[in-house]
Amino acid sequence: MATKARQQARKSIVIPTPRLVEDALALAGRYKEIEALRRYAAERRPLLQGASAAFLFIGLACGAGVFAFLASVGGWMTLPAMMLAPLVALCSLFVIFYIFYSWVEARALAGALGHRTNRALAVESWLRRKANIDLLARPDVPWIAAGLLVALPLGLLVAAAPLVGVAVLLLAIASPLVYARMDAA
Amino acid sequence: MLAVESLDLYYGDAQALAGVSLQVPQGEIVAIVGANGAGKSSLIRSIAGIEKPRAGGISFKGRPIRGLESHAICNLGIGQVAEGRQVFPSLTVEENLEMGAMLPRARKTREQTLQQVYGMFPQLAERRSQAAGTMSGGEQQMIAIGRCLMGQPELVMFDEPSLGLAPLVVQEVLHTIRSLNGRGLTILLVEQNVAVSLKISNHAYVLENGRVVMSGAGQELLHDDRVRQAYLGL
Repeated sequence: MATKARQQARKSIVIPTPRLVEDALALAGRYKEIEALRRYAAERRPLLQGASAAFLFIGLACGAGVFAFLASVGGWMTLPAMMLAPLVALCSLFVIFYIFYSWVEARALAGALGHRTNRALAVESWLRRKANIDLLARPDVPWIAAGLLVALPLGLLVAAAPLVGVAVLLLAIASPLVYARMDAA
Repeated sequence: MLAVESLDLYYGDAQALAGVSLQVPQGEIVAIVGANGAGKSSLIRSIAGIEKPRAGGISFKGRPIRGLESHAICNLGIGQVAEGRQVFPSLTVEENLEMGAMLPRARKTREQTLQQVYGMFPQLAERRSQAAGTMSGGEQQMIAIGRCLMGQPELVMFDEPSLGLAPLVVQEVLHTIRSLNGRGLTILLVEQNVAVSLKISNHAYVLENGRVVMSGAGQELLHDDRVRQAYLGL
């Protein structure tokens, strides 16, 4: 029953609507108002700052990806690309930070309650066993927004500048893993 | 029980609280009322150790607490029901309540306190496995109050408990506040809804632009012409 209810609650943030903005504000409110969560974040400030810097770079890379791809189509696309890139970067940052901080919150809750709040996937179990990386929880991912505003721009970056794109993709994958490893240490 | 003396709080150069002093005697309901932006929430966030006042003193049961970390203040017995409820939507009701019992003072008696909270809010007991995010605003407020009680506070600070709730639910929340007070808890109530907070409080302070401009018994202020004109539109 609890799992089903959780799924119901999560459904609301799968689709990118103003509800996602509401959920992001509610998440920020919990970091601000709930003593246990505030303290959890304060104790990990350097780690969170490091991860945030990495995600800031990835968000900016999303904007750069859109610019690089559109500009490579033809000179006439340069102006629209210049106008679109900052907007994409901002929206990407919003989605990336929402996902990251909702994951950090879920990790805090799993740690405090002494149990996972969802069942571990095979890859999560493998990471825990082989690399001592315990993801502990999964974030609430707004899939459509993440697809449009993070995955697609990164894909465009890979298409326009493969080496840089792959490096950013690796950074995006490695950042949460490094965070989880260092948090455990 | 709680005493605030000449408290000054700044956000950058902007002064949010200017020489605020108040007393919260044990076992009473004390209300802080005022318009939006008067400094009510800043005051309780300062008491809770979230904001760092520039000057003044705060003491709880005779012990100075200004400058203590917020978790240390909670552990002394000051609980807070935050504005906007702030429940964890993906956790169940019971998990949300458990999150309130993380303080050292509350850990040992967690199970016993949980049963007490369920006794006080039977609807939470019935829906203990339901995700908090799927519940109504009033029910979420009950969870927020229950979570605060799990920390075994002696003084509970309510920040705008009626915000965003239907009038009938507001009455229910006020009834709960009265009932908590009847069980011996001291209450500091911050509320924009001046009429209801003055009705249930033993004593009240009116804040304007970060200053206490009036104080007195709740019923007394309720009949004060200036209060009626400024806050009740009468």
